[in-house]
Amino acid sequence: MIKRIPITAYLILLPITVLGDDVDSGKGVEAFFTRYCSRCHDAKKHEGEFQLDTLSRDLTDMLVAQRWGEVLFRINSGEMPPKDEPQPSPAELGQVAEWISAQIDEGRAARMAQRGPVSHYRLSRDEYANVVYDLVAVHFDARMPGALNEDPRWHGFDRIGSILSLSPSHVTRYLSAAETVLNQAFPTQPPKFSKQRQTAEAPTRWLILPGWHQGNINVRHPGLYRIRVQLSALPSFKGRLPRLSIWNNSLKRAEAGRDVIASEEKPTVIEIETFLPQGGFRLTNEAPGKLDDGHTLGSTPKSVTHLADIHIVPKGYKLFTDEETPRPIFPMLLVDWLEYEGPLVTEADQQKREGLFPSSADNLAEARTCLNRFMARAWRRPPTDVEVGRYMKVLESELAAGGNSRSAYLSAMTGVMASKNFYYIVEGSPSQQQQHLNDWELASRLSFFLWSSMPDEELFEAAGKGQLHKPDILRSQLHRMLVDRKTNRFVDTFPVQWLQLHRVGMFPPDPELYPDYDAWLEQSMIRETTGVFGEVFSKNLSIREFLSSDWTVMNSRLAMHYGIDLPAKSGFHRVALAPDDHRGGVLTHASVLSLTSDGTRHRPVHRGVWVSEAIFGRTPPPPPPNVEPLEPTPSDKPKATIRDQLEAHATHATCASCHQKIDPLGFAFDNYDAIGRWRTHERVAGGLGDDPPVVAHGTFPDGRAYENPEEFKQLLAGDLDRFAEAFVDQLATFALRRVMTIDDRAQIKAIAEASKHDGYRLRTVIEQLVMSELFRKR
Amino acid sequence: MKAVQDALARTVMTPQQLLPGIALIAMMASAAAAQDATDYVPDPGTFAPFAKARYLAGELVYIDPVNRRGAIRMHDNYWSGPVHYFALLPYATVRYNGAHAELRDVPLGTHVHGYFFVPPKGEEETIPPLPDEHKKFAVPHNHAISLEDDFSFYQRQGQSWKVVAIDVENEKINVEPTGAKTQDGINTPYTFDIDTRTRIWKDRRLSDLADIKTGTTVQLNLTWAANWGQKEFGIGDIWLDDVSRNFATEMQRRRHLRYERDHWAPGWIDKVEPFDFGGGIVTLTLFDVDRELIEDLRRDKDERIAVAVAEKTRRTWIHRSDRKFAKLVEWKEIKDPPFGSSGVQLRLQFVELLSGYKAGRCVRVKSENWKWVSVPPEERITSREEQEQGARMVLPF
Repeated sequence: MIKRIPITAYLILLPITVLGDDVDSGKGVEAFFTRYCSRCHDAKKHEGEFQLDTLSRDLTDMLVAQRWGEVLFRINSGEMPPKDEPQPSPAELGQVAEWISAQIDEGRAARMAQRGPVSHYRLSRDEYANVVYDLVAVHFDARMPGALNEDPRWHGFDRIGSILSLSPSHVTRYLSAAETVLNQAFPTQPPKFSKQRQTAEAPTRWLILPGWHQGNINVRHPGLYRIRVQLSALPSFKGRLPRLSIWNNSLKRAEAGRDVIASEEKPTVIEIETFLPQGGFRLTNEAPGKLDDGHTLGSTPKSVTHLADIHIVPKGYKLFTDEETPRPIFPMLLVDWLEYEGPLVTEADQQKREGLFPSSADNLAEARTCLNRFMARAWRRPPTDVEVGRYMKVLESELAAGGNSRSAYLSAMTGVMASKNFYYIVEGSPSQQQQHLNDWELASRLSFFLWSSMPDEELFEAAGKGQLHKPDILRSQLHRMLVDRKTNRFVDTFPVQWLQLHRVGMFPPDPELYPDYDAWLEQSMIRETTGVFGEVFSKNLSIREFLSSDWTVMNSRLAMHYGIDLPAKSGFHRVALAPDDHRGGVLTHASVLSLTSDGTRHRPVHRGVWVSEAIFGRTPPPPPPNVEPLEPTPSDKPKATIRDQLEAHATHATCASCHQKIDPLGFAFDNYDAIGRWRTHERVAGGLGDDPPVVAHGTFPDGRAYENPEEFKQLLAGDLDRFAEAFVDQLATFALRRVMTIDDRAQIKAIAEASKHDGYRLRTVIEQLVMSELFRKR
Repeated sequence: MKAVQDALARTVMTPQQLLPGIALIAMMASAAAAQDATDYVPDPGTFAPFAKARYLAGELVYIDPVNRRGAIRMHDNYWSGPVHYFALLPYATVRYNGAHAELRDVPLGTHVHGYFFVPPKGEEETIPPLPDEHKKFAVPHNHAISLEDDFSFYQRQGQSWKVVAIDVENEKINVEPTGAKTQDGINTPYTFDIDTRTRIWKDRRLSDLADIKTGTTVQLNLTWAANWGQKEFGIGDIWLDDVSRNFATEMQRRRHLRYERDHWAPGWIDKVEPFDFGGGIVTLTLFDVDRELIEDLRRDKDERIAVAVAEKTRRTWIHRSDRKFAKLVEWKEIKDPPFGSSGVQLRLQFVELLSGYKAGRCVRVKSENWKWVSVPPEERITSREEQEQGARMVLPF
């Protein structure tokens, strides 16, 4: 609730609207300031030592923007204009608040997009890990505690150069990471390949229930490992599949896993290849279930011969139904044996390291050649002689100090990786004004856009020849890159950032309300969305599919969550949807529906804001201060939906202007609860009577009405041009690592229009972006 | 005075005077004969109808309090036959001094009234067969649904005794039934031994023979007569007024409350609805216990109702550890519950389920407000072997 003049006061003092259609141009706003503000905040009175008429309208200046933020705050909070002064109408207030917000946003974007002669874009930690792998074939877990700092995000994007700052802590960690990576890539002794096997001593089999662990995998040398397991995997009596995963004992997390199904009589062999850091690992069953009370655990068998013969004392866990033919209550794994081998070094990995390490660093010429090659790849451009010489000096001084040739050369390499040229993408030159990217910079922009990593040899070669900027060469390189497996990184990364999927699970759902929610479901939600994006990408479908479609990509776990009858089988699959499934399009993905909730309740306003940002590319103004939260329904009042409460809330003048625009975008999804399950009635704690039915109809601010989420989606899909522009905006933000500004709007619009002829197929949109002037501009 | 003498004169048992007792024995024998043909076999997990039970009475001569089993020396084979071994059904009630009790609360030597069934299906081996030489005495009805002392038995049915005469010198007392007459048991004038072992209760203290006045309405607990005569009884305790009777009942009630709060309220599971992500809904019915215990549970509003698995003997494992907590989802009371049931059914939501949570299996339920105590080691089950041992009675003689 906002402290405001009662609405009746507005009716009495209803002023003449001073804004009219001139808001966008700012003229109407100036009239508003003149009428309602300037009498006190002019040069004469200078009330509160604040003068509005001379306050700069250039909000690219941070100090100016802060002062305008204060103006917005005073207006939103109802403090200004004072009660004893002429009062603007609610509509005027809303329009002015929106104008100031928009100016602040534009100013912020412009500030963030400001570019000097040289622009530095720090790699995100995921990009760092990708580069390390593509450079020297070392899997570096940048997200491991203590590895690299978490990157700040701007509207979901973690690669926006202007907010990826560098602190002493970053430098320390980069240095440490470089040492770790290089020691692993170029060890004193090659890691000894080992192969181990453990058996459960037939006919006994390890029983692995949810959360239980069996077997031991000891990794002395980090790297790629192949793990083979013979097992039976029985679904629960409800059809929930077990999930075999490799559990990291020290980090308490699963490193890799797979849904499995295999009868007790016919076990199967599962093979998992995954990168493992040094440490201990065990097999686990990642299905949900709480079976970890030590006292009860001690009375429950850990191994079995045949399930029919199992005997569990009454104080052990209940594992089977009480039916005549008992079935497992929980998804169950019965493991016969476990094999693991590694570290595996592929020929491709070996090739990446070739020519980077001299046979002897005492041979300075060879060392220089190798170092030059390493620097060129690590810095994604040819180093100058001076730069190479600088690191050769490191090598020489180490040798002079008595260090052995390996450690001396590694010191030089570590220096290269600890250089800003490695962990920054550098564009521009301090010596000349450069409007466009040079070929090396273009290669990096392209590869970090599609591969989230450094360019490969072919891209380097094209850049080295100075041909990459040529449209036919650029297009041909793009086509080559789009079919490379490394685009999986784009498929896994871009939708997560665009749709802000990092927020899924940020507010863990209340286990009381949603006891069925588990970590695998959470991952499955995200993988549905990235899976749909991947399908649109690989099949080159229209981006319309993101708004409305009759298919999705899901696994058994998610199907169970959605109440869709899907035969129990492992993995994610494209699944056709029926209208009764109430799915199709990312807006009805559980990922999106849960990230816009708070773990307890769905949040229509958050959903509306999300739609506005992700689908329309518009960020609504922030809520004013001192907004009181919605109160739970009192026990002596009828149960009320959140919509009922919001609509009451939005009758307040200063709230109404924004809520009228935001809320309809969120109400459309009231049929979905806080974890994205379909419902017809809203569960309301407290209050009298039955849970109220969901009302999901509404009207867009432009007057278009919808009755349900499906109609809402169809309305969005019918306005594809608008969505396409917003999508290109997001894609360009991701590719260019900066916020798009008003200066970019024309080009974004052009890219979208150029994609229209092909029905906005995703690869066409990408190609239009890459081939655009915008993409090649600094 | 003459009236007293006349009454006392009747204490000399003539064959005619023995008729009521003989008639009682005959009635029980005929009842037994009648029931033999239509013996009701209880279903495990279902409350057996009390009306189908067979009445047996005798002196309690042996108990296994941990497993709720014992033996009575029955009226009709007192001299020649072996004792009658029995097990209490899980929902069987024991009453002593007018209140709920455990078998251990009833002193050996107390005359008790019981209602019995043949073993439930699948539990035929709980009471081992008698040795061959005693098989002719075997009574198949060895699973009790109710066991009571005289005080509880007669008072529950509204029957008291009026003192007709007392002969201190000969240690005899003549009484006649007053109030509603019981169908089973003694419902005719009767002469009992009364001697120095008899505890006479008046107000809240022990009294003496001089306080027993003719015309006084009393309750009494019988034991065997001094000369061990067939159907002859001595009085172990006699309560002369309401104060003494209420006091006795209250003391036993307190004992019962303490016992159940330590061991938790008994019940069994009606239904289990597991979730495949952990936990589930368990519906259980509480057995007949003092209402104060039920009210304790009704007051529990949070998620700390503990439910321990138990055997059909109501014996738990280590109940303070072998239990899971639940949240009350629904509290339901049924009218006119079957004998042995409290009529209270709980729907509880668990985060974890124990293997022993199974329809028909016994549990013990703890209110959050009850103190955590450990049961003595001999009462706990700690292994599968002990569980199996406890499933069958070990005959002491």
